[in-house]
Amino acid sequence: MRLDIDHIARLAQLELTPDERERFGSQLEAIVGYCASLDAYATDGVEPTLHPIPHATPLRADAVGAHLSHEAATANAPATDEDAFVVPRVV
Amino acid sequence: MAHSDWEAVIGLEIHVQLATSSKIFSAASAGFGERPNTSVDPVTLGMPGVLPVLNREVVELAMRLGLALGCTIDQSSRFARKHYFYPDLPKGYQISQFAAPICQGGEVRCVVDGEVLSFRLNRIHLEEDAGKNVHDQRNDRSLVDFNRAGVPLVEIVSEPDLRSAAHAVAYMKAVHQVVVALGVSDGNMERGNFRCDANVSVRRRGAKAYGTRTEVKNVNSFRFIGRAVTYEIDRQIGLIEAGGEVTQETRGWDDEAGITRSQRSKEEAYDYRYFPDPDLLPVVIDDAWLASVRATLPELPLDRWRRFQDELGLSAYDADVLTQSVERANYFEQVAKGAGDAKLASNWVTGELMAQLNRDGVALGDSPVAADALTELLGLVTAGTISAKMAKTCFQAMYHKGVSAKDWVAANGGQITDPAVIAEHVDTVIAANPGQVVQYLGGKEKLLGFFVGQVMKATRGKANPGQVNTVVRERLAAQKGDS
Repeated sequence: MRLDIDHIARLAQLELTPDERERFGSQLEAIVGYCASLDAYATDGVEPTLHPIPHATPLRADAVGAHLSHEAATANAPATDEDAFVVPRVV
Repeated sequence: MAHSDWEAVIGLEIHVQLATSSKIFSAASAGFGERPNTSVDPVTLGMPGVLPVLNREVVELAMRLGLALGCTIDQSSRFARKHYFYPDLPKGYQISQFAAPICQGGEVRCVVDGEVLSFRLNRIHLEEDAGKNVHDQRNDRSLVDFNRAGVPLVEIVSEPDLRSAAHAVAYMKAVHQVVVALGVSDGNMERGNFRCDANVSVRRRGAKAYGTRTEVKNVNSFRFIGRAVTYEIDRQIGLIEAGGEVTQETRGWDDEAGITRSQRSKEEAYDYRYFPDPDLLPVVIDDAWLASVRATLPELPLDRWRRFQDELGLSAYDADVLTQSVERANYFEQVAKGAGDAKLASNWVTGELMAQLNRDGVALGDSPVAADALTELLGLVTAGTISAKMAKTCFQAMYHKGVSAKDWVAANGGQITDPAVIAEHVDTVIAANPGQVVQYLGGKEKLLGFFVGQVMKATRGKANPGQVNTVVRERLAAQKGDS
């Protein structure tokens, strides 16, 4: 099982050192390779088991409930200003 | 090569915010205009360990829209995770529907140049909105407000069946009219509750294969979409004719400059890594629920537009004006039914009433003259109690002073229809104007209007004009016989 570890790292926005690249690459290949053993079985026409329990998703009534306070919501933000989370410029 | 050698292929994706009180997966408020980062809870912010619980109303509104547009409702639809990194997306993924959307197929019907066209839908799916980034150029930073994160949306995806900017505008208007008429959304475009992206490509007429397309983002008004699509079609044709190629990319519409600009190239390859969201089980809709939603669907604006023409005999134009909102159509129908004269009701609602409301900037819902009051007024007109001219004066009193039509007639007197009284006035006028009588008898028949006008003046507009006209003719003809 060969994975494009650079592509995966890019999607995850991770910068890997050559050592990490080697280590994580082989670990991921082992995991994916384990699942790939299923490829040995003919599964055409078999419904995928998306959820292990055969229930419908529960629904809630459309009612407004509790909120976090503005202070609690922003408590862990590295920076705030004008009531907003401040992040590096994205555009 | 002329434009007629080319054909545009356009598909639209419209995001509509559903009219709920709370968010799609949590009880935080979906309201607008709050202080930033206050309509939030742990689910909105994507805190570790939280679980989404689906809002029942969201499912119901999507079903309502899907049924109205003739979609197939999937009675076991599913949610997936769509992964990307952006500061307004707290979890690092958006919960959306991918492989099994709630609505499939369907169509949007709209009127283009007086003709009803049908455009196929691909799907309508549910998803959560992201937060809002404000780019603070001056300080080289971005500010994020998560109040909008988790607000429920449907994305309405058309097939690439549209062929012109006019199609795109008509389609977008029709979708807007339907979602508002159904109560699925308030459709408020200034607030971003109805947003449109257009996929545009061109090909030589007769070609089977599609050209390379661009996606024009955020064309959020009917005017913008018309201009943006027109521009993009011209740009692509020009590019190809000059020997170039269209690049598949996302472009943004700059209305001030009147151009689209490249935003990002698809070559950077978005890989969303969709997979079924393990936190959410299938959205199961049983037959009873589906039937109950189907049973409460209102008449669609286009059907009403047709009925107003076919059954009530209105012109296409008047029917269009009257079906611009459900409220207006309801108002009109109430008056038409009550007064027993649809054309008269249409003339009054689209004429006198709307002119006055527009002048004052008053919404129909706040009109000082309610539908039953206007009905009473028109009843007096059809019964001949007051003339059309008097009705206009009466309407002004109703509108500005709040008097009822009946009270106005009681105070001002109704129309004079008594033949004896009218004849008396006519005789007086004829006797007082011998010079004009001679001229009239000498062939100046235009003077008929003068005599009628004098009688109307003498009765302060209350004499029945038709009757006056007849009596004036008779009396003058009799004079001719005498002379």
